[in-house]
Amino acid sequence: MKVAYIFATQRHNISYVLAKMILPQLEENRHGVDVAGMFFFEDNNYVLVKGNPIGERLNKVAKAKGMLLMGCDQCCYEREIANQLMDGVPIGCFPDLYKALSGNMPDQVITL
Amino acid sequence: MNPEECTQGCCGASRRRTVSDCFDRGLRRNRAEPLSVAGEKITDANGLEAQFSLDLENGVVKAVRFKVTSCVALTAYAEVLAEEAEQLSLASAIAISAHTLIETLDGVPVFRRDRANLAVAALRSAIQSALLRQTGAMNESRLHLRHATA
Repeated sequence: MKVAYIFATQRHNISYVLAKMILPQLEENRHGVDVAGMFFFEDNNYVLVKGNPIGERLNKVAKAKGMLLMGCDQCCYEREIANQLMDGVPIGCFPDLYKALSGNMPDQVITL
Repeated sequence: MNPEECTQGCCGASRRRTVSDCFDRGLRRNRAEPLSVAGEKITDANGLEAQFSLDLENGVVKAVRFKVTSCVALTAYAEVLAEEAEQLSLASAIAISAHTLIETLDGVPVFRRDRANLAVAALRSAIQSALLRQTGAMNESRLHLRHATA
């Protein structure tokens, strides 16, 4: 099965669910499903900023596995980080996300 | 810091020119009815569209509006362009370049900066319409066209 994750809420998602659950599992190839992509809303986008330790680990896995990482463009512009994201990580809105995933369609979309 | 020297908006001294702020203002302008002199609707290679319209007074751009595809960078560039062009002569407004626009609005990633070209092309089309209207060349060329095809 192939999934896409949408990080839509802000509580403990990046530092806990992503950094301590999903990311280590992906790094150890034991997540159980393929991840087609991850899309980040609101403050979750800070993980995509160049130099963020969790983000850099995530980007390494993404590059190795061909996984899409994309930040919400309005969220990034609002936080003035749109031009500070890690190399190769795009920003976009829904049309960009659908287009980017169209060549690697997930079976399930998980909103966290 | 002296509030008069502050350009960050926190002191209320000036409007900020971040992408997000320009996008917010641009959305409002985008929803307004077009003005009397409209340019052509320009479409770029990505399928994004932009059309500007103007009101003129004594050869000066009195007001600018636009209709653009709801892309953040495009809307923000169009808003900056509209703010810059207002109160300029047509000759000065048409001289605003995409490069100037990109320099003016910091924070747009490189792969989104092509939107500035679309915004500038659409404004220039509206200015061309205004110039043609001013000189009456449009009517004259239509007459020539009629003669040519008669």
